[in-house]
Amino acid sequence: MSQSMEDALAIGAERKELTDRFKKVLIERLSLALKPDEIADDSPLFGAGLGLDSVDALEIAVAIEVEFGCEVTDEDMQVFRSVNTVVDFIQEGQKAKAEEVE
Amino acid sequence: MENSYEVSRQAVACFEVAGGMGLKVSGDGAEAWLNGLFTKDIEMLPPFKGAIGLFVEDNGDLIAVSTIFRDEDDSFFVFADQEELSGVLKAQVTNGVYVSDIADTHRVLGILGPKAQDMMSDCAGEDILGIPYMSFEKSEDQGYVIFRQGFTGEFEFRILIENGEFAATHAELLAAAVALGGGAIETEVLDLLCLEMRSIKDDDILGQANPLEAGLHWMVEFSKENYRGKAALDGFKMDQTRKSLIVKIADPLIAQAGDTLEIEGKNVGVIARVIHSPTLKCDVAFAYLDTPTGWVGVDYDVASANGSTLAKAVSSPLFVTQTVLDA
Repeated sequence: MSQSMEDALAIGAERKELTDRFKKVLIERLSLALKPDEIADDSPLFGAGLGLDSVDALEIAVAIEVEFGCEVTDEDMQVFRSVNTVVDFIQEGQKAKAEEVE
Repeated sequence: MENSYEVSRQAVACFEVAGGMGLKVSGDGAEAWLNGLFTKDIEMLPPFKGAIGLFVEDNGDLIAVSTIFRDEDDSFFVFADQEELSGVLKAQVTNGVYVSDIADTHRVLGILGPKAQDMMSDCAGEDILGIPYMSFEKSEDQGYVIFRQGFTGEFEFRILIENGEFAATHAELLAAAVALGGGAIETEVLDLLCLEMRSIKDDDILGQANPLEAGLHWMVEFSKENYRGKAALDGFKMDQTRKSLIVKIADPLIAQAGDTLEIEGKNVGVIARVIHSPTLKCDVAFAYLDTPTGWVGVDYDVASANGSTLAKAVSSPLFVTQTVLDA
């Protein structure tokens, strides 16, 4: 059985908050001429998707470290292919930090 | 199919691109005409560059996903998987616009895989290394046109070859692929390769969803002033009650297209297509989900005629390809 509807909505709300926050950071940091509702969560960040390049990738890494407190290595950056994959990384980083504190 | 997958993800595949459509659009009115129909702005597109966008109806229904490239003489190549697009466009041709079928004079070879760039560099010269994604080059020595494009996450090229030269060129490129450990493939594998990278088919959308529910926001230039279907797409953007995600299925061979996704017995989504991913070693599906519960990390019960199982919404693309790892 899947989780309860209440739990599903809670998972969704948490994910939405983080996703919306990351999209706003992305738009501000990279001066994208886009609104958050014009970026699908699985849109490709690079190439023909949002058209970001390697310089933008570095900026994303800095933004993640500064805004979300997650350290980013060169290897980590390979998984930054879409908003969702970046949010996965942020969530895992924040969870790991919370477990360290405990 | 397994061998075709391995060749495509580990070496280099060589195949004829069958089906779909290709048009050459020319004339003084070509740019304005296409720009009024396409969701991306092609006015600023430089020669030898391309854009991926949509042709939609006035009500926002998808006609076809398409790639348009500008040629050096300001004519345009228009490619799409939906053959119907050809008839739709030809029916709307206006003065100063000329449309011809590329298939009348040319056939297309596809080359894809992590070794595709090396192979094409050996065959067509080192200049191939400088072709950016969504660009093309005319190989004077080889007599064909090389487009760098694709949706599988690997290096991918489409080679436009004059009909008379096709057989010889195919043989040459296939031999080059074999020499690098690759070869011919069953083209049915292409849908699987694409969906692993969340690149969907037109059929995943047609009759089921609007383009934004399908997640094709990046194929729309929302700031573009006018194009057919703009008002509808802007409306969909404001009022999105459904979205799409990839879900991983817990048990193989159970889920199928049309199965509902439920939470506590409530219908919250539907599966559009299921594939088996050899890399992930599980079934994955492209699904439409109600927005409140359509988020990565949520689990769903799959109601299938084949039994019951669980599905979990995951991020895509599903993994980092060999092409990206090697880069």
